[in-house]
Amino acid sequence: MADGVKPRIKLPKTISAGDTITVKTLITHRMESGQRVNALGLRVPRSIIHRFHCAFEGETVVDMAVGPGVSTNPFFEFQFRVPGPGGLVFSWYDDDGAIYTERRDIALS
Amino acid sequence: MSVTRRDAMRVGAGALAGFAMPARAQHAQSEITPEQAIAAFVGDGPVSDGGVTLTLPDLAEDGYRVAVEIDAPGAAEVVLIAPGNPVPQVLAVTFGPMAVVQRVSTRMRLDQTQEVLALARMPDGRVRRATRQVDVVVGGCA
Repeated sequence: MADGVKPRIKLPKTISAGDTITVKTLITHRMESGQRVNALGLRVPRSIIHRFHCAFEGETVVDMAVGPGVSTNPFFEFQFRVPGPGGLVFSWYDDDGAIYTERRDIALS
Repeated sequence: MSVTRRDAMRVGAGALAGFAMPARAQHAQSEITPEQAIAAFVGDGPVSDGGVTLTLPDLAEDGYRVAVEIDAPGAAEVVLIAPGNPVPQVLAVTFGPMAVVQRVSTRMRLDQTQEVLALARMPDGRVRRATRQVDVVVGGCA
């Protein structure tokens, strides 16, 4: 597991069933592209988040194949229509095999 | 014949250069060309412009993080390609049944001034395309 990896998720404060909400996610990660060369002329090995997945109660919202062209601390924003109460599960897949998972239950108002 | 210090230095420098060269060479070339990345997504079907909106700044001062938004109403899959980057395919998104509005935003790296490309595959298999020219001041891949 890489150091200093912290997922953040932002959802609207109040959500009603049927709303289309904007989901913002960010995970702190170096996203080492594998293109950089260090002072000795050696290539720094690639170490990125290569997949991001979001599902609502087991049904996929978005599934992203992430390349090294995505910036450090990858930020993803997408839309989601809330069908009813339930939980959103977010997963980030690291090159080193780690999977960072977060769950957010949607409290309807 | 004896080995002098000078000879030893030459061998050492040569070995170091041997390490350094492949690393530099690999920076210039990528395993997948932009054409291959596009062909892998499109297949042999037709591509039409329109139906996809790609939002990017005209001028990116910092190539390390450029905000990008792809709006592809009704699309099943979208792919973001930066032909001027060492690895052209930046992001591929599959929209699941729970995504009703097919719009994503992220931040991307741009190595140089280039025309960024977004392709979207509709549920019926047609492919839509949008392009945006972005001037990059400081490249974001080195």
